[in-house]
Amino acid sequence: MSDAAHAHDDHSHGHPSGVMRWLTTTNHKDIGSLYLWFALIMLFLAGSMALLIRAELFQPGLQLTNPDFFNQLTTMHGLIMIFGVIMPAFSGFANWQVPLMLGAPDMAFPRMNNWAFWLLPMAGIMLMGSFWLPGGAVAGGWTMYPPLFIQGGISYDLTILAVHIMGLSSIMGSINIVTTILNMRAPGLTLMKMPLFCWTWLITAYLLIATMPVLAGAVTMLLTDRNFGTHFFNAAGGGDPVMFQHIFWFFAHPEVYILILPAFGIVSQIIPTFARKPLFGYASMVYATASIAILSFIVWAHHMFTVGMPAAAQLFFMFSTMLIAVPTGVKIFNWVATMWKGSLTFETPMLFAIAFVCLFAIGGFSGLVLAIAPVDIQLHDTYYVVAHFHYVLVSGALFSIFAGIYYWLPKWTGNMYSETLGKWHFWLSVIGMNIVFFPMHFLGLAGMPRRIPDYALQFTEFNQIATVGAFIFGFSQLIFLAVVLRTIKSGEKATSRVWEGAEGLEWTLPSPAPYHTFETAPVVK
Amino acid sequence: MIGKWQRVGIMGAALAYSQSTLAEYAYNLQTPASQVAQDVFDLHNLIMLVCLGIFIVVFGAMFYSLLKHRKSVGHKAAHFHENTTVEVIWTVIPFVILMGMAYPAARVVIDMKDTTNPDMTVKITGYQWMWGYDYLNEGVSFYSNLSTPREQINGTAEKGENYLLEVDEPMVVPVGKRVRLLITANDVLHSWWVPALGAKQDAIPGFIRDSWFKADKIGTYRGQCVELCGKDHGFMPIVVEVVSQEDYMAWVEKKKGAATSAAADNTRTFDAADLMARGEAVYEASCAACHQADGKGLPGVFPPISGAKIASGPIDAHIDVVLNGRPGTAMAGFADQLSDADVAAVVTYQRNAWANKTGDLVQPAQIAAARNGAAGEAAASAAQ
Amino acid sequence: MGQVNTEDSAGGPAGAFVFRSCPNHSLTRPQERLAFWSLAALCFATAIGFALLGYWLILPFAGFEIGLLAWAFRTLRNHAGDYESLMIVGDVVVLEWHCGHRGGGRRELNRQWARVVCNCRTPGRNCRLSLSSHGHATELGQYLNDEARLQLAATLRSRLQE
Repeated sequence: MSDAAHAHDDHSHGHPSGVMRWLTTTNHKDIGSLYLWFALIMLFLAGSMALLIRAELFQPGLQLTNPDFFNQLTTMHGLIMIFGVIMPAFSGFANWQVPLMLGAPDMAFPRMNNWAFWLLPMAGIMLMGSFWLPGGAVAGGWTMYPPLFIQGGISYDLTILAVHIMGLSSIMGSINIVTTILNMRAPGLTLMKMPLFCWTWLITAYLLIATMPVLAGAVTMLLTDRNFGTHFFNAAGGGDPVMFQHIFWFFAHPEVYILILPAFGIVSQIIPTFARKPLFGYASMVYATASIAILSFIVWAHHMFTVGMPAAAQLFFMFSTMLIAVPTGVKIFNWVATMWKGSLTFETPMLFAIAFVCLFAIGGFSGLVLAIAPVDIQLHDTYYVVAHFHYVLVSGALFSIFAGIYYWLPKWTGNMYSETLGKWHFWLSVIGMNIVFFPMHFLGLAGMPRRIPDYALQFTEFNQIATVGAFIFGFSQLIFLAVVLRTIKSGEKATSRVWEGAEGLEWTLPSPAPYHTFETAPVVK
Repeated sequence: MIGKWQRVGIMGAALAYSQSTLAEYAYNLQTPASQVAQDVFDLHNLIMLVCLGIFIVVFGAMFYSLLKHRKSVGHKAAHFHENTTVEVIWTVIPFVILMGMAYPAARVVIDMKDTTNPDMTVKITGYQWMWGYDYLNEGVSFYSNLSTPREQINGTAEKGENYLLEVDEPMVVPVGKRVRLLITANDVLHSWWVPALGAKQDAIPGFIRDSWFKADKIGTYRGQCVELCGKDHGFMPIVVEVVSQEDYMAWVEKKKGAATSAAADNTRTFDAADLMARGEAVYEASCAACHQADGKGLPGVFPPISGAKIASGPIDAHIDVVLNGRPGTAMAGFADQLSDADVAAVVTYQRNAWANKTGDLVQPAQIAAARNGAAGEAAASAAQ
Repeated sequence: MGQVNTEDSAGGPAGAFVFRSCPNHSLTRPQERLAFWSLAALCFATAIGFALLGYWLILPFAGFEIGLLAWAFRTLRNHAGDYESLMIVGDVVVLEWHCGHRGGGRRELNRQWARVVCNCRTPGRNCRLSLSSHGHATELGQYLNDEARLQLAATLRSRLQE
């Protein structure tokens, strides 16, 4: 990715080179690559934490970690995977692809784009560095529930600061994406002709802008409760710890869709390409995405059915949550209908996209089970929930990121990736992923709570299976790293169209895409 | 091709079924022991069946397409990309299915939330990291700690059958009675859950939330804290013993007798050996989780007691911290959990164990005095 | 930020040479209003809602963020009318331009005195094209890429010598 930009720097010899080039770049392709590399590094860091967690859980008893360090691992794994891997990776795709898809020369605010990225490594260093502070990293769960979060040491304050910085980065990135999509479309490219990826990112950015102040406010109130004697969440001072959960999930439920809508977009680009058939029901896909976004504001309390709400509130949140299954179902049906009577081929991006549809649906079904309030009350905070959100975020968001990388990497680097290695990566990932997370459903049903470093003997077998799967899944990501590095260095030259069935403005450009593109706007019929 | 896949599917289902009969309910929720748990169990099965049906239809279609509509078998792509009728149908059908699920679910919700007409009421308090039970009608109160020995956790001893799911003092309730639970917490969030009874409720400091269960069968039911509450979140199990009404009455009598003898302890004067022995036991149960068995704490998280100023300085300050905690830190007050004799013993132990060699003996009377504020101060200084 | 719509020899007096370019601007006012006000309403409704419950610290962040959004949309709006035009009528070369908050400008040059200056030597930069007369240069072709800019330079050289 980065080399692509280098190679095509030909008419800009005097650009700052080395570190300064990357620190000062305002080019959307450079920034896209930076986001993606950052996400990849963070994926390996947070993934190693997951492997350590799984290794500890291989058998009952405490072997590798003490309970406090275990809680630090689960907390940091969650925070980094969400804010350091999935979100930056999607931002990387947006930076690379949105201007190319719209026929725009760059993002609307290139300088702000540079700041938005460089805030992230700062936050990442703060988060990772907190492991070496006295008391270690945060151990209160990524959800940061008080009063537990009030008890911790200096790293808790540092984490709040890091969350603020990442929030600021997201806000700047989102404003940039919204303005780019609205203002910089090529003549003739109306909103309803935009590629679905742009639509999903437009809605994602909208959700981010709408909810980020809520997160910022929530963590700031934690900070003042911790340090300045306020009592927002302290019952002894007239506050309410449950209100934190309301505020947090008011942000975090839309956040859940922020983590999945761009994935819908990526998959909606890929499936038509390899089915050689236009996306079925484009308009209904747009409406479904928008309805998911709107519904996301009225379902937050389904994360807190066990706090003890009145029956009427439980019923309301149960019904509104179940409603989300309708637009989500429409999306899945549309993807299947796109494949129906196509002329399918199964290159690596398509394999990941198919696995996405199938496994995301399993996550959707377990989501439906959890939407039913009485069942949720049984399963809340058990491994069932862990299984559910990993099906949605690993085989959902992460697989769509893999699919997107394989799909656009030839366009970015000018080289084809190794299909053999890609397929190895796919099959090992998809098998490993199911071995890790499928048994977790049974663990949750049998009553194993989440976030525990040690467990009762009847949970042993499924935990052992999950740990074996985790190591298969984790180490197969090294293949992915190898594929990316090899593709940047060498490989068969890609054509400008790359894929036989590819449609869209980005495929009219040469591969690799030149450093500056679309300074003269194409006209879309 | 399809036939073969179907056969594989049937074999898989048969295999899953045979295994599920071997290990009872290992693939589903725990065997219900109350009507609510049974309702939830049935509801879950119903939804799983519906989901399975939808999954087979949708992904049957997808995999059919993956097999038949591939380029390698020469399939040419069709060009349809819109059909309003189809779109409307697959919006409406899921909606109808959801309504079918919502109705039985709503009935269970309303049943679960109905805590009226209890036969008895128990207040449950979550602490870092144990549970406290107060039987409001009977006047019985006790704390329930994990009873699995440290050696089993560290792997130096064979793990017992109920590893991590056993406590020193289980909650005891009579069978077939509606038990109303008033659940709260003392420090951070906890969550009280016994899967087989179908009762789960977050414990929220400063607020009391209620829940209920009615156990149908005599037996021992085990659960765990299910809301992250810090270091030993995984080590505060819940055990509910459901017994007959007669056994329950006998248990209440026994607990009341134990309470009287504990009260007598508070007026006794102990010698050094008794105080140290009792203090060590109290320390193990209430202090060692944070300050560690060797009194050295966890650097940066929990301060040491061994060699610390608090254990060599004024006794009053030491007693005050144990009774009232340190506001703004993880150190909770133990005034409610520990008796005067326990506090006296543990303070004595802390002042004379490890590197601490003050030689101070603290008696229950001093603790009682400290609880009584200003009068306490005078008494304590007189004792010194 | 710059996309180009160019038109040659369209408009202007008959026989004149007209070259007009402007960045692309697909955001319409109704779209802008919808995007901005719906976000502002949603953010402030949430923030005020929580503030009424006593959790007021969301409000300043909502204010800051909507301020940033307003700045972004205002910047786009300021640049909505950006254009550059060059018209050669008889012996007069008329340059007109508008660029954001720097506003618009107009300059008339004598065709015989006007010189095309094209500097492609500054490393790391795109080529710069300007029209200079009496020691004062006016930059041209900001919204073009290098290729189009060089082409414009060639066209202008031949037009000015006619």
